[in-house]
Amino acid sequence: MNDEEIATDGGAVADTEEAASGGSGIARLRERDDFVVIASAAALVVFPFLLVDVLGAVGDVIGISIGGYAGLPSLVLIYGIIVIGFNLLLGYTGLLSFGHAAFFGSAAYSAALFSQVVPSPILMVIVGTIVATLLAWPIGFVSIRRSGVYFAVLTLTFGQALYFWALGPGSWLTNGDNGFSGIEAHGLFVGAVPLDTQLVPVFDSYTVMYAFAGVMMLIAVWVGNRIINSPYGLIFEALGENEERVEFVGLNVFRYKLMAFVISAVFAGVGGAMFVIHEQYIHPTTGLYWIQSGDFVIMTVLGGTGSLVGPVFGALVFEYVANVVSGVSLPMIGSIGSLWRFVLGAVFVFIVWVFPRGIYGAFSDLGARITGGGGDGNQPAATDGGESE
Amino acid sequence: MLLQSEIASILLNGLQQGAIYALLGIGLTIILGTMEFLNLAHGALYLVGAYTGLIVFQETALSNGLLYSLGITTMGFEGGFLAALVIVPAFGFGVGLLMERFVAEPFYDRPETDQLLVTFGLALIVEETIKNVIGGNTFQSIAPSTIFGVNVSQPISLPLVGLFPSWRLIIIGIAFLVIGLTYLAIERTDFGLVVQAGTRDSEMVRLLGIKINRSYSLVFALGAALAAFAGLIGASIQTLSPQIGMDQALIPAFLTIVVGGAGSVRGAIAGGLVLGVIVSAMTQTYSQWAQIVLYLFVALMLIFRPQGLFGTAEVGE
Amino acid sequence: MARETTALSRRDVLKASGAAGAAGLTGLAGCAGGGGDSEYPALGNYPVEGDEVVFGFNVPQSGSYSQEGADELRGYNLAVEHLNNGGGWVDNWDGLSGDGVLGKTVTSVEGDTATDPDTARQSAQRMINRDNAIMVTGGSSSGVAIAVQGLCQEEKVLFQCCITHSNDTTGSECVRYSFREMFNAYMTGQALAPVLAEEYGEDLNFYQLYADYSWGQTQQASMEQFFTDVANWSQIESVPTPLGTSDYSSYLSDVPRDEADVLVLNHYGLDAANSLPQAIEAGLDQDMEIVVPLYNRLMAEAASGSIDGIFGTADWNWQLEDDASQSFVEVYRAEHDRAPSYGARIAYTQTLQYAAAAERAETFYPPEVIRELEGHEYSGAGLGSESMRGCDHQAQRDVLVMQGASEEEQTEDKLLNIVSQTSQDDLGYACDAGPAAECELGEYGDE
Repeated sequence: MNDEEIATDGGAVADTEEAASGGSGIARLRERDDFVVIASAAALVVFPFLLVDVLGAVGDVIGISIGGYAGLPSLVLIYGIIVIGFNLLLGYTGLLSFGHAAFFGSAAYSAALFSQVVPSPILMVIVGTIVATLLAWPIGFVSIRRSGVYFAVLTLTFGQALYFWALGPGSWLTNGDNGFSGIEAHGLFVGAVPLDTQLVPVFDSYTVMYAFAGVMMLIAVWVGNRIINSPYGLIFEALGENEERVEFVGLNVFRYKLMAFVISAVFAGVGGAMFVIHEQYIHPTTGLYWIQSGDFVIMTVLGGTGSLVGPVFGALVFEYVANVVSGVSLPMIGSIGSLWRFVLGAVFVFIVWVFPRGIYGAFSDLGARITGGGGDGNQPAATDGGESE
Repeated sequence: MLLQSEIASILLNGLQQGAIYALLGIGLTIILGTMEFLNLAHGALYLVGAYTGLIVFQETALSNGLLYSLGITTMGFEGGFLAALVIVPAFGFGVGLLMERFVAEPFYDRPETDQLLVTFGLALIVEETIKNVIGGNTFQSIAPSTIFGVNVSQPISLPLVGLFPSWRLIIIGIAFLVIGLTYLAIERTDFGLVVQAGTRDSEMVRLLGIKINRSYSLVFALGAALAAFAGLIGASIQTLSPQIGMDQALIPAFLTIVVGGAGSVRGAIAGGLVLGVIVSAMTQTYSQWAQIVLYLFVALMLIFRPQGLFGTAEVGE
Repeated sequence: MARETTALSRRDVLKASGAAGAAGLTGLAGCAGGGGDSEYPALGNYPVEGDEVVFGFNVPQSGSYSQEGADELRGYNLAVEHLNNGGGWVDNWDGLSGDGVLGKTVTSVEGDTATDPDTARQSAQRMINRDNAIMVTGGSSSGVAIAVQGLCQEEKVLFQCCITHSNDTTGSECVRYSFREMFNAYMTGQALAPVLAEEYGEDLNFYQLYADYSWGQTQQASMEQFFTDVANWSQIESVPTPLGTSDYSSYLSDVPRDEADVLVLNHYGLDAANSLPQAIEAGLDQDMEIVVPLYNRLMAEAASGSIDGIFGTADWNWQLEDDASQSFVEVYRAEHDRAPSYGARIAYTQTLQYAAAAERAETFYPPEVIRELEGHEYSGAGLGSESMRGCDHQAQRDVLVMQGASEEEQTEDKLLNIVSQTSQDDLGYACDAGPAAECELGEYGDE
């Protein structure tokens, strides 16, 4: 964690603003709330266009397929929701979990099972999230008494135990290694409004599914923002910096850590249910294996743990490399194919080494340098500019 | 199967798996204990050891990868297994020295998430490099058929257990010999004293004026040599492919050290054996539950005895 | 999810001629392309715009089946080469011109399934949505094939199965938009049981280990069925092992040596490459016969000396002497300096099958191509006469029974010997029996 003040909207240093705005603290907070959500909304409107159409057009020109495809923007948002929550745990309280796949996967499977009864995506998200939350309480309760490696391994063991259960003894419920298909969620409202309906003619990545994911994303940003600007958020942050001090003030450290853990699991649960709605398929390896938990860590740190929406950029880069770069054929070199993981590894090492604050941190630093200060003005630029990365 | 022979074969299989876990665990635990460095590339060191063993041990036909596309269709020196027993740990030692100098050292003062991520990225790079240079295909395990003129490819008949692969018996012997020597080195030498002191309180060692940084690279190299050695042992009984570092080594190594107690060599040995026996006992009885029981056992250990079997709860917190 | 057939995408607008584009903008379904191939409504990725047609090759390039994936890809690329420029089987098959398909040049996109069903679906989704693949093919694991064919049914894009041997692929999980050239576990049982009964005798006890997923489960069930019914053997026990297990010593310790006469290892690829040598190392071959129902090159190479004398089945083998097999081996060897594995053959023939069906249908419109494939009888694919059955999309074909070669006999290419070629007349099941009884293909998409 940096010692710098955590800037909620990424990189903007609060002190300068305090001087600039003459309003009361609450009014300023309200302004900032609105700002993050509005900026995110603006970014969400142009995001698929940039990812699919602009990159696609660039790809057509240079003769290398680098464009996204219709399902990719939604997938990025779904992972984005998860890592926003994951970062509330990792970036703020400094707890590194290697078991969040348990919440992602349990939500995904329960949403999938629930869809057999009521094929409603909205209810599926609610059910999945409830299951993930219920699972997070006991796991959190025993895990957060430990810290560091012990906490990481403890969360990992629960996730792995669940994974092997889903693969073997639990396969009567999960269909085991054959994967769970036949998920009944084609329309947003119990069959009505199909999720793949195009909203905008010509641009086929703007679907009902994307709008659904976008709305969930905005809710996630808004909620996350409220949390970190509330007294809770300040305590989370203080926990990450110095646990003893918080204890000294007389606050119940255990309770706050547990809250942070459960909150992050809620986000993972929402993401897991959304994932199943989007993919119409779930498999234990994707849902529950530790590599999935590791991916959350990777995305979060890639994007940058120092801000609320930073990790979303990590999710974007990760999914882009995994799903688009992996299919690229370069002249001379030939197909990237399985080299994509090499690219990913190299990108990690580079980012971690050179930009410890992640991609988003690097961009906001750059923006700050250009404008010669940490004003809010450069933020939207960073938000959209990051997209065309 | 009689109960006695069932138990005997569980113990023997557990011992063999446990030996590999222990070798991995010792390496990881001294690195974590002495330097408080979280190394997710430990599995990659196992992988490097396995492939180095393959190259030293025999001449192997290649069927894809960069070397193959350059027209190199075979690889390896046919040096035999005894040569591999010496060269692999030595090579691992060298890799460890380089890794400590160029990867670990810049990250000693960085947060553990950074250490984790950089080593995880490194592990990916190592795995993908091997896949793209040597090929992503699977190679047969590299057990020798004779050692010192004695045929070791035939199973031998043991009391209670019945027929047991004789090579696996030898493996158990070799592994425990190395484990024992490592243990003595850490318990009985000055270098070992520094390691022990460092795992308990590196701050204090520094205050006493011992140049602990010089020992750091040695500790790291020793840990890497042990991981590479574990890879060689593993490759002599299981097939090799670029995935084995992530699939067979990384997680078991971490489970071993938390059960044993981070920073404790004795704990890593005990932890490895306990986990090995749990897995073999469950696999021979309720195979579908084997991994679940393994993980839940580790979870219970962490909940009720966080310092592990022999560790102090200080390290890694 | 089936894509809205009335939806109009950017590429339609970009690629269509001005007038058609304008008509499309007013909301008419489907816009005429330049191919004069527009008598049908838009469906999936039909119509094919421009003068190129895209095939999607979705193979494992990482993960445990990556070696097979590499060979499948060689077969696919050979097929594209021949479709565009002639050569290989293209010169002998009816309807294939060697000048592309329906006058369009064939191009391909590749993806990595990583031997993981979810990754495979992502990759197929990209090929279908972004690259407009008119046909997707691949898969080296039944889990992957079943996951991807489900997606292809929703997207109304054809899927040509490559290596998948589970009964479920054309059984309970079958779909209208997928076709399988490869045989299945049921046929393996039928081919293997009589040979083994003759070789090892009757009234034996057998013990099974099986990989715990779709293929392993159906494989285990079929073995049990035919060894019991045909060979009059009795099963002692069958034990599931998790996919990707690397050390089988504990499972093998449990095999009752004094009781079991035959050990059946229902493992494939990497699993078998571990379990088979480990079984031999433990001396199980001294006490009983070992059977590996489905052979492939990866495991034969990895187990090398251990496979001496061990029976199994295979899809095809380069040592077959018919003209088609030999001409394929020849063109493959010229390109890659070694003999093809059967994965390469399936990849090659499945791509050509699709192309020939499109030529016969005179359109890429998927329902018409499907109808051309259904019931199609063909030969010249290396296994004599074959037919693609309409009721479950399972090819009716011969199966090879193989035996591992001894270490002295083995060369880089020759690892197995062909014991016999079981005729399709002795294999398979009726449309209302066996796995086919559970098959409901679903919609063509033009109902």
